[in-house]
Amino acid sequence: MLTVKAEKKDNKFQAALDYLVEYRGVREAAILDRDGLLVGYCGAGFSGAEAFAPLSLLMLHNIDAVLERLGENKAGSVVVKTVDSWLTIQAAANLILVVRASSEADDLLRVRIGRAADMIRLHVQEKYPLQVD
Amino acid sequence: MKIDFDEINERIAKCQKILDADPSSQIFAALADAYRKKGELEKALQIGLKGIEDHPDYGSAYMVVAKTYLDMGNYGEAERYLHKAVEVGGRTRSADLLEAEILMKQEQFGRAKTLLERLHNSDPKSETIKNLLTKAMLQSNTGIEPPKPISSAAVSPEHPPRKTYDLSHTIGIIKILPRVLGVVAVTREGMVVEGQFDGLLPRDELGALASGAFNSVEQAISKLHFGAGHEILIEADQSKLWMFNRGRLIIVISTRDDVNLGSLKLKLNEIFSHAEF
Repeated sequence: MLTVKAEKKDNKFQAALDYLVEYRGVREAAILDRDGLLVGYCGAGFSGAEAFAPLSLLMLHNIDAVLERLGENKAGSVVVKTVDSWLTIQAAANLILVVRASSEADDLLRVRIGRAADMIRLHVQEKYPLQVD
Repeated sequence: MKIDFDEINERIAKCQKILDADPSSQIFAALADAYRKKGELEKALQIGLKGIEDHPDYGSAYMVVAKTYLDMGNYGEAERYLHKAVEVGGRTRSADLLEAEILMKQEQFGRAKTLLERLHNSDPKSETIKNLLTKAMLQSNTGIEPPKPISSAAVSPEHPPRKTYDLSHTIGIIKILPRVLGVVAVTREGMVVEGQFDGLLPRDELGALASGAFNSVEQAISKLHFGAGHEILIEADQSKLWMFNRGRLIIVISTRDDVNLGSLKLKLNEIFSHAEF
């Protein structure tokens, strides 16, 4: 039991995802690389990471293209709200954090997503310092 | 339509000073119009109607009262006072434009379109006419219901009409909120219907790009069975882009990066609750 806990604590990506999924209304969270490959996933949503990952990346690419035309840098985050769902795509170092929540979640979720993105950034910086800008 | 409240307050003070010095002055019409622009419709109406009693041949005063009734949502009275303005002062371009606006509110888009086409041909550079014509053309192609009669409750003093903002007014109010750089209303096809934008990019291009982004996000989320997109917030280094789904239109708001999103959201909710377009 102690060994399992220690392993979980060492996996910083998983810790960031767990931190998000424990928040009220959060259904699933995933970390993707810039090619859309799944680095980490947590949750039990019906959409599943297989569909959710590439479509999130596609949305981000389309939005980045628009921002480039507007003379802006790439999107730091994109939040899409529907009547009953809330999807956040957040850049975190060279990775992308995607969070799907229901309408039960409140605006404080944005703070938690920001903290989780910082945890991912810090971990990438510590573990792969040469790959971070 | 940029609303500069300081400028309006200054105008009210000046007009009031002139009227105080000479109560028989026709400046009352300008004073009533300033109150109308400020959103104080009851006061505008009171000043306008009282002025008309003293100056029954002053056409501009009828126009101001007609515009005030239009802003109050009382289209029947707006039409009546417009006709009086035409009787007294003759038909002018302003009267034609106001009639087109009233017809649009009464959902008589075909008649409004005919009037606006005539105005557009004689003044193709007017953005106001161009925007109204685009709206009339869009609406006249969609077969909207015939005009609804004005209920007595809407004009009864015991039941003052609910304050409503049309598209132009809504955009004007959002534009003056702190750190808002621009507001554009675009159709799903990317055609700009109305907008005020300070950026270097032409607003038509912003409209096309924003609607493209909105549509691509909607396509993606429909594949995830998320339902229709309600709003999309994009945060970049120097600015934020907030897009709201309003039926046939997408309202695109561009802000500085240091905008207070919570405060802006509260204000937008309030403004959108009064919006009717």
